[in-house]
Amino acid sequence: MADVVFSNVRKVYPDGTEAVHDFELEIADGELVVLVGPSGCGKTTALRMAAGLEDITSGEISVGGRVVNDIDPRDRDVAMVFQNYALYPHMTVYDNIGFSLRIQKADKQERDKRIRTIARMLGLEGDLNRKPRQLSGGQRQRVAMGRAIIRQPQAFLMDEPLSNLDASLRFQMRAEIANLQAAIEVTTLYVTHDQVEAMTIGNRVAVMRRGRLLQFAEPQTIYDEPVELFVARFIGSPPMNLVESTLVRADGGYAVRIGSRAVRLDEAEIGAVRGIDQRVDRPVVAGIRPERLEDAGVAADTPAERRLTGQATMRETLGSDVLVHFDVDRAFALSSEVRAIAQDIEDPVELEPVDRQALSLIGRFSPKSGIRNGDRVEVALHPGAVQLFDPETGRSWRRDAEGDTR
Amino acid sequence: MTRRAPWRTGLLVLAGIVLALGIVLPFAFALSASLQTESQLIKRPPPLVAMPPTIDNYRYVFTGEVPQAYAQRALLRGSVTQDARVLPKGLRNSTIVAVGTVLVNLILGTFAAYTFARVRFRGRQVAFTFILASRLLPTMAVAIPIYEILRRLDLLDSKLGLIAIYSAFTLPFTIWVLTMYFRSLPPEMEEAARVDGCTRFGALRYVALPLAAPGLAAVAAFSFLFSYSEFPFALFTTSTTNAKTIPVMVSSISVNPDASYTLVAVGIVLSIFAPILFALVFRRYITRGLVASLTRS
Amino acid sequence: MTAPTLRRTFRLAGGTAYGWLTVTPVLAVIALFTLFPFLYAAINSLHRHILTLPGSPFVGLQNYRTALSDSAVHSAAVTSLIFVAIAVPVVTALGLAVAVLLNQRVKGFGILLVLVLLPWSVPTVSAGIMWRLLLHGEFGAIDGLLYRLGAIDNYVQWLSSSKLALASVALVHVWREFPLPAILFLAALQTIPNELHEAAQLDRATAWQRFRHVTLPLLKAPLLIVLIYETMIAISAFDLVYVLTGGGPGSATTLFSWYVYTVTFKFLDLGQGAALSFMMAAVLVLFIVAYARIVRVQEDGA
Repeated sequence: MADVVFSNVRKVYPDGTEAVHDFELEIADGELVVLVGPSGCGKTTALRMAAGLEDITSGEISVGGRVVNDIDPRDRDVAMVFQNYALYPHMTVYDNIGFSLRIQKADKQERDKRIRTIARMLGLEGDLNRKPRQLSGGQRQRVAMGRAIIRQPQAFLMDEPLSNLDASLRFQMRAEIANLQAAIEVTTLYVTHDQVEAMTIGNRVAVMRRGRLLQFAEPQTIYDEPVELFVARFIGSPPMNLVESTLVRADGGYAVRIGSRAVRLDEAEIGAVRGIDQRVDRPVVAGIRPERLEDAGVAADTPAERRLTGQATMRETLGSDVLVHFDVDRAFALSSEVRAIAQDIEDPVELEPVDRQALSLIGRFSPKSGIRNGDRVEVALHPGAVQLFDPETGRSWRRDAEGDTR
Repeated sequence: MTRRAPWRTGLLVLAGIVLALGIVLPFAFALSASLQTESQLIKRPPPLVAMPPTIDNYRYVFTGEVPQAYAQRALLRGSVTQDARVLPKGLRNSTIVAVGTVLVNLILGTFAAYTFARVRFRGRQVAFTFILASRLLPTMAVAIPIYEILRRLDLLDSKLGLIAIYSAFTLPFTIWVLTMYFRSLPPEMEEAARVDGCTRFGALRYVALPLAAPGLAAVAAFSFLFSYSEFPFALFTTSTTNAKTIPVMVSSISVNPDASYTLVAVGIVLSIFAPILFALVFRRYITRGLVASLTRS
Repeated sequence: MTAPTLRRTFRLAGGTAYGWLTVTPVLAVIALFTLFPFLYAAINSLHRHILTLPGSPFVGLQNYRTALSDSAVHSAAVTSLIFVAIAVPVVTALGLAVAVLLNQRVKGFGILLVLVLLPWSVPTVSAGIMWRLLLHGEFGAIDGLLYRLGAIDNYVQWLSSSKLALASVALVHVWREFPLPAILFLAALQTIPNELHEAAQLDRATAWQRFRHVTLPLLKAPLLIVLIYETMIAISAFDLVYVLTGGGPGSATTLFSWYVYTVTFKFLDLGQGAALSFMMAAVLVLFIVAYARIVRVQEDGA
């Protein structure tokens, strides 16, 4: 059993900054968990604590059931892939990969065999005699992987291994890493700031912000059911649309005002919230993903109370979809407080006031939509599109989001 | 930059030639003087090129065979001083002392520097400052006390004693340069080594040390050149050929009014041979080391 | 499990224990041969310790007071000051000039870089003796050359003329020391990006103006270092005096460090010698402070 467990882990630096707070994470044996968040959120610190490169202020980290807090990095049986690969520049690829075995004074023949096997697996056979500076970014990345794999450790720790590659290479290597991990079945903790990477690679995703773990679930769950405004905005591209509104009663049901319209909540949206009755007439932040909006001209059978009106300001043709930015009639942009929560900014006063600007939303429409810049638009909401968040805490009103202690 | 006018290039080349001559001529003259006999040399003006050149002077120094020219003129015989015969011993002493100092610097200095660079421990700053500040003390002030200390340790007139003193003088610079050098290495590689199974010492040995090779070369060169050239302390603490270094020997020959100039010249040539060789081989590291260290005062 | 617990204590102390373990040998060597001698010398300077006289009673600041009123000390101090006043600016200027020269892209200048290191890397006494042969009043090559060229009518006594001796020592000193400033300045020059010069050229600046306004300001840091270092070297110049002039003729080249040497080793007055060395050190510190002030003031004023 080579699971990795963080229990109540805290990291406080000598100058008092708290980098990681009350961190709890359980990575199952063989699982690939992605730790994602903006820079400075503590994800790399957490990773380095698992490796033994940072001291743990309090709490416990265990690998394979063994508490590793006081164990030297070399004895923890974990392997790490660094952001800059940290290849030994004065050694060949062959020596780089085989370094750990050489330290252990492994049998020379055995070592040679293992190195070559791994090199073959990673497509590095022809490069064994080269030095790192002669290799491309992708090759270097693979050497770093090889160095980690050869030790057959209990866990892999990866620190943004793809962020130094250009976009197309990143795309390719993402798949390679995922496949490799699945093939070897080694428990992996993967840190990144790129939410696309997080969603595509991870078996489960942990979102961090300012030293705290916000949500830990499967990618689709995080996308569909974010527990916080920040998670909702961080995951998903383009980011979720947010509207400051009030929950009101309407026609025997409930609605949220968006601009000149009162958008009616459907059954699914109502059912997700516990005690919606008590929340009537309270301020709320409504979140609607761009993918859940459609040109009313295309989704013609949407009822009027599930439509928004506005004016298109920009059209971005992607080919598979069309992104349309539109200003909602008589609605105003987010207050700085809510923006601060959603974007992980400490002090809302730092943001420029945009109160009197129009509320601008983005919809991802079907390519059939003929909307152009400046057109008047009617935008339809998909069923279950609206998610509700508390404007003060940023917490989702979903009944299962309430349960978390954070 | 636009193309330079040819007359300007000519001027620069001229300046370059003047500089080169200014540097090389003194050496050339010393070399030439060592290859002449006394009678050839003592002329007004002395010839620049030895015609014909003779290695008799060298032969005398190394084998004791008195040069022909002197044997003939009894007057000059007296100027063939015995002092010169001990020059080879001086070479040996100087080399041993210099190499010894280099070794002490490389071993002790490397360990200490790596610790200063990578290990956080209480009192680190104090120790580091202490080591650097020790260089500011004036030489003459400590000359007598050092003599006393060596005497008590029974290290007077010994190569070991010289190695000890020179190490004390060169270690601060060594540690300064090496600490800076180690600090400039990205820590990830040493961290990777430690995750891969190395102890702190292993990380030093397999990763940091190879990467710090240029810094080590510079430090070795400086320590060597310093020890080889050092004069006052060698003068004060050595008395026999057991430990006299070459600067001491050469200077004593030169202040001997009877000594033949050609032999003095031989002394000079012998004394500069090793440093020049070292400087040529290590010049890149020396220049880089000088610049790096002095610009971070 | 005892292993992890042991490791924990070792780790906490491990940083500190390992740290001191590797650093102590160095500290010991330096303390023994630098700190203790320093303290010993300090104590010595407060005693009357003359080897030819019995006993060494404590005399407080007597040695210092004697030194301050001794005319020989004054003379040596003045000689040293003159020497520093000549040597340091010349060495700095020459080093700068050579650096500028070497910075020009001329074919074949690579070899100059190699040559430039040579005077600095040979033992100072060897350089001194080399020049002594050249400057010899009877058979020196320099005199010979100048005579042949008709520049002088009689051989010049470079080293035995009380007027020229100091300058001659300074000459050799400069020859030996200039490579260091040259290398430092060259490195600094090479870090100045070409674009700055090009922009100045477009602004119609002459070569001299470019030098003054683009190059010089960026050389302030190396300049300070050079000044400090070269002053230190010039004040403690000993080797050259020993082999070139022995302090003479008379006291024309009795630099302060040479004087301290005579007091300590010829008069065997250890107390006085120590006191003089400390005074020398104090003056050096003053110089450094003064330099730092001047260079910084220029920066603000500019």
